Amino acid sequence: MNCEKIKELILTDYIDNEMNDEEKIRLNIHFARCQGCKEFFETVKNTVVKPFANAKKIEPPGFIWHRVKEAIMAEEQKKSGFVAGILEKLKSAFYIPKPALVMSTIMALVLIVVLMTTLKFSNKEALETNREDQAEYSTYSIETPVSALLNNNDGFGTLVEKYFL
Amino acid sequence: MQDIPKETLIKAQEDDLESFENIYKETSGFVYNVAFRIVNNKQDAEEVVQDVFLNIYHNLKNFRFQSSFKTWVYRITVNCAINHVKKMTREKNRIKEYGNNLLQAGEISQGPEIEKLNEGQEEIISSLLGLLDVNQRACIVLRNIEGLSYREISDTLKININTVRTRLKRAREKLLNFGKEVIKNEL
Repeated sequence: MNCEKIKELILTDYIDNEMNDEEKIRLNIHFARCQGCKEFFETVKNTVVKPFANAKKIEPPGFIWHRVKEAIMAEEQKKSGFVAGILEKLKSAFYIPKPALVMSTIMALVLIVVLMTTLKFSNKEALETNREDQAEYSTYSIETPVSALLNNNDGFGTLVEKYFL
Repeated sequence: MQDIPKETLIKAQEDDLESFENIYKETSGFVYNVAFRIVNNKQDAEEVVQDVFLNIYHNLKNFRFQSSFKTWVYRITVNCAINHVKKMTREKNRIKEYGNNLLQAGEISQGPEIEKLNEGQEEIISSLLGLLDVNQRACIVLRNIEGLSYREISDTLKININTVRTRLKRAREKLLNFGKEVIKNEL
């Protein structure tokens, strides 16, 4: 491994302890005989790692939580206000005042009664017509001879059908 | 951060504000620190933390327990912080376009303050982070300050492990070059 590759590893895996033991040993052996790489490692350690090693941990100011909480509550309120607004709109869209409700119920009842009566009469007429048709057919069947019925070419042409008729 | 019990997360998913507050108490420390290191400014970090927790509140119902909750929170934090930095950079550029003086723009940015290098550890960290682009900065913060492994960084940022390696390498090369320049100037 040449010095350039070694320096690349120093800047990354070696300094960050991302190497396995075998690779580390190889690098340490190289350092023992290469002063340039050893010095480079020391420089990297002091310049790019050490300054961050003792970075102070700072506490977040207490007011941040209050701001977050306020923002959440404002959003929730807005959300519930939005839902309530939709419900209110629906309610007003379908709102029927009481006298109008009573009036429309009466109208509906009257309409139902009228429809029922009309249907009853029309049914009576249909029944009467049907009865007349049946009587007419019976008279025709009695008056017409069977042979005429069989020969009128009405579709009952096969022998079997004629036998049963 | 201690592991947050699954019941607490489930309750918070059902809009239980008390459980959500418990999650906040457990995670806000590292969220604030990561945000602060990436945006490199306390005031902006406070805004980012607020965004992060509102984001968590809105998306907690979609958390399916398939990955670690901490990784999920790290991801939201880094994304919010990176977006914040990008937004501030655009804002800074707009101000520059209108011809305002650079000093004003510098107050908004997280640029390095080289002359303050010797004023203390925090200034050094801030200045070094200020040298990096925001993606490199996120990797350095997660690795060098938060102590995440390459695999964890890759899961958090949803990037290939080799991309993590490359970003860390380029970031460190930049820091080394800066160090060389400082030494050269002092001599």
